[in-house]
Amino acid sequence: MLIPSGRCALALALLIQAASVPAFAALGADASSIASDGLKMKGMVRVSAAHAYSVHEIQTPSGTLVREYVSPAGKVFAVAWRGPKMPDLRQTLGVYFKQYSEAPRTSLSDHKHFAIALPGLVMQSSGRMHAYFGRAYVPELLPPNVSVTDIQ
Amino acid sequence: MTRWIALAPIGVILSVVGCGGSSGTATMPTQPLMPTGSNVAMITVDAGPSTASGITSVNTPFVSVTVCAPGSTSNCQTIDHVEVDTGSYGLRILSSAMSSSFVLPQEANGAGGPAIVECAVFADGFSWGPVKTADIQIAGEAASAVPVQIIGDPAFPGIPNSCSSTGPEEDTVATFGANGILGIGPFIQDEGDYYSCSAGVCTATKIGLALQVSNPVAYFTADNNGVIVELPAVPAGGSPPLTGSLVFGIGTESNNGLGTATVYAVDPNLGVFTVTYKNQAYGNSFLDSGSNANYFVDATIPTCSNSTAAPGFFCPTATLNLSATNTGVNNASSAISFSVANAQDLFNSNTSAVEFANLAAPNSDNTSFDWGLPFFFGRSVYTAIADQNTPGGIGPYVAY
Repeated sequence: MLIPSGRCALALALLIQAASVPAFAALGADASSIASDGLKMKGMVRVSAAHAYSVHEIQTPSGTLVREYVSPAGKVFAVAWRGPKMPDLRQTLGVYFKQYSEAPRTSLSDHKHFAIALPGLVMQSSGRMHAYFGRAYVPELLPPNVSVTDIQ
Repeated sequence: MTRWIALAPIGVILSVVGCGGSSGTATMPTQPLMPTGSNVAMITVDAGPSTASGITSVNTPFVSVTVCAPGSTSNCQTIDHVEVDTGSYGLRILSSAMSSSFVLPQEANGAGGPAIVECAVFADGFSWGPVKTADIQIAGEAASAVPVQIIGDPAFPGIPNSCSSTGPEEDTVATFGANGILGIGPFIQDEGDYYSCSAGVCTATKIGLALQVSNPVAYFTADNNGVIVELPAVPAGGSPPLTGSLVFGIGTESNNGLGTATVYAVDPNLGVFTVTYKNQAYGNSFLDSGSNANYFVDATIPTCSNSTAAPGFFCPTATLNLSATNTGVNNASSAISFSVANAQDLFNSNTSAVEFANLAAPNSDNTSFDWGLPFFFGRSVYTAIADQNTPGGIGPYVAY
């Protein structure tokens, strides 16, 4: 669960009301960073609780929807995005952005697709100009009983 | 190793799903006739220009494109190995593939204003470089004063954080995998991420449609309503480099009629139609010569592991013979037969091959079926540009 600090508790209250507040936490980071990271993304946020985790949906001004999957331990264990613009992946992937950037290119990398499956990071990106989709998760942070197919 | 299981479809399903339409029997490709004429450029499908980097292109079509200083027919340069991409918009050329003495005029944001530079974002990385104005010649076709992107131009070394945060940089021939890319999809402008750059400082900016990097076909003086990609069929074990045709215009010349091809209208905003595969409808589907395999969701097919020659592609234990149905937004419909072979076996058993008709990979997007270049082998595939008139109706559409 989220551990509410003063600002975070306020943010969480707003989130639950589906209010428009800036919020963001990177892959692998504590969900409690949502409030402090919030100013970096100007978006509509909605939080919904699923079986074993919560999902923070961020509708960015460009029209791209970013989803963050937060475990009961309060970690962002997965992220996904869909929309007309690529989101800020340095922000979305956090410390994992470097791993993505430095991953070796293979024949599969054809400008429309990218995929890596490393012990510490699984990521796929696909799409064309005007329509991007991608997702990433950290296998060791996956809560029990979570199907990775739900990360969309 | 990654294996996906039971992807439930969410996402946008177009309203035509389940409607009738002219569904026929499953079609296998047949050999298209290779046309000749001033509106025909030769396509080469080969290992690409960047084999020195160790990555060999597979299923990647290339053409040669000549760019000239506006108004000149002599101050020109011909660039080979420009990727033919029906899934993007506009001509982009790697700066390093051009002579340093060949300089095109910089596009400015307003007369005398700051330089316009673009961050072209792809699924696997970004390409940064200025927008310049060029006359373009491909085969016998000519276009004047087209905005094009020059990727990796050393005159603009400072990449803004908002651009570099979209992925890894692909500003060299080795990282880009081609000397350029010719985006000839069903729209004109790329609606990309543009910046105004002055004295080394770049700020994000919106620019008008006329200034955006654009599909050169729409700028041709003739044969400007679309293209046909015609490639020969490829045997099951793959093929060494081969050639085909990029034909300009649809129904504008004696060599580019629709013939028996059926028109499948695509969504006027996203260029997508519906593919139905194993009783699931994928509403964000498309044909894309710039995708090097057929990418689709099927959790029952194993993926090749990282230790193989084909990490990430499908690796079934035996070749699968499959079928999917394409349905346009005009309800035209046809079943397509296709095969998925073990990609590791394909790559290992025929090391000189660069085309594979049965290469496929999992699609992470569970709303989309991406017919890549394998679909184009043995077919004439038409792409009509939005709002352009053709004998098959007004674009955007695909036809085959």
